[in-house]
Amino acid sequence: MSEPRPNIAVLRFPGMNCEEETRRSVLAAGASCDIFMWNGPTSRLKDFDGYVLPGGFSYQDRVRAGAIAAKDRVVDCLFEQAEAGKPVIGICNGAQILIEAGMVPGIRVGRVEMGLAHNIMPDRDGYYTRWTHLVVAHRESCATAALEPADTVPIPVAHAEGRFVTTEEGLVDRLFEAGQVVLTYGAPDGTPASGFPDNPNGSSRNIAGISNPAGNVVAMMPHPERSSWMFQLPENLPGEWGRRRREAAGGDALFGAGPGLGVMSSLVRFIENSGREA
Amino acid sequence: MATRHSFFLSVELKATGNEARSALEAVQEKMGLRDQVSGLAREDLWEIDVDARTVEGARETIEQLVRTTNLFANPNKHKYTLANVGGAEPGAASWAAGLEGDEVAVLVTDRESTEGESVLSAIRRIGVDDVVSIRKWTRWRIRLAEPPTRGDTDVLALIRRIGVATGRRDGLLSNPHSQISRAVLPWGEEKVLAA
Repeated sequence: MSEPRPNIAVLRFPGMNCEEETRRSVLAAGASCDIFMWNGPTSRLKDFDGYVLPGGFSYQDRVRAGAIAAKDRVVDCLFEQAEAGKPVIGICNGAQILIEAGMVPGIRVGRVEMGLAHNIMPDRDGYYTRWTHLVVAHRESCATAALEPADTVPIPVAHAEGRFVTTEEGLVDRLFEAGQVVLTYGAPDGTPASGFPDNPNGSSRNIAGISNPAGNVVAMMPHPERSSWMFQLPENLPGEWGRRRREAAGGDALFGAGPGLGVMSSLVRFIENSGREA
Repeated sequence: MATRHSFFLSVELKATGNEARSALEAVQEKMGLRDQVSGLAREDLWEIDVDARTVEGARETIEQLVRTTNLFANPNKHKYTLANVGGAEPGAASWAAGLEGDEVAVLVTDRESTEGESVLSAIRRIGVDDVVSIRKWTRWRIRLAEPPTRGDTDVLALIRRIGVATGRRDGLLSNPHSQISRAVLPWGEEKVLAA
């Protein structure tokens, strides 16, 4: 008899708008998946094996992106489940919630140790969307476990507040040293981004995704659900994935796995590996 | 000869501000401060420096920008007030303008603010050169259940608890890693919350 598939909750706060495509991406990675409303019973939320906070505009980004949702009671449940070792991935607005709640970087759990500040870009201001080329900086996390260290992973960003910042001296160095910076922005050839637009928001040292010390909670600004199938990739995408996309044009390969699916596959693998270790 | 004149342009919605309503609900219900906080209002506060021969000339420059562009306010949905706050760094009394006796203010702006520069750049593109700097603040007016009194350290602790996000339970109006914030008390005293 085969093992039951991991069951993932995509947690929907009011104002989010990426929950359905995120659910489809999780399903494509081999898990079962439900969308769970923020005001649903937390007794049922505890039954899931892992959690994804999708993108969007929770509470219309009022006050500050993610700030109000971070205070919701349902986040208490996420804290408990993360403490028990279950994985949590926050994508874009989901990442903003995890940062504002103090789940990431989580050196002192529950303390706000970072912010996601407004983008800083030359000659422009505000919301910005672009394909980015992510470099896997560390694999030991629930968002990168199935990605190869040398992979350059094209995934788009779309945000106005995505610049990881902190006033805590030395924190960014410590996060790199501890392997908590799991994704960075790179050039299409995988070398570190040397500035805008490869680093689309001015994030400190090209940080695109950060985990907690245990690696089971990840806040990442790019949207993997938007590059989970080949047909989502633009034909003019540079690099290896762009070549594959052009080769797939017009054929069934267009419906094959895209680079972003690796993030959801990582989530599934992380749960499966946790189960084997338990 | 032109001299520097500083103004505060305060812009708020004519209708109920949904952002303030959401913030109030978060403070009262999610942070459990219903007994301490009874109201919350929000306004955009533009700190604008203008080089002009007279204060009247500087005021007219800003008034004209507000009337003829939608950069600061949309007359269909916003109301605004413009106050000259002198020629140097505005004092706490300027930041406290309009506060009632049971209100305190929390002022928030980004550490690396680009919005003011963007607006300044747009102003330059339409040929207005005498505006020399712009910074945008958000001014939150917090109505307390008990009017604050001088020297009351509990009030400052409460403002800090509402104003600066330090933990899962504490702080909403600013993130100290990306924003700076100040508390302003109704008698014109100012306290730095996050520098």
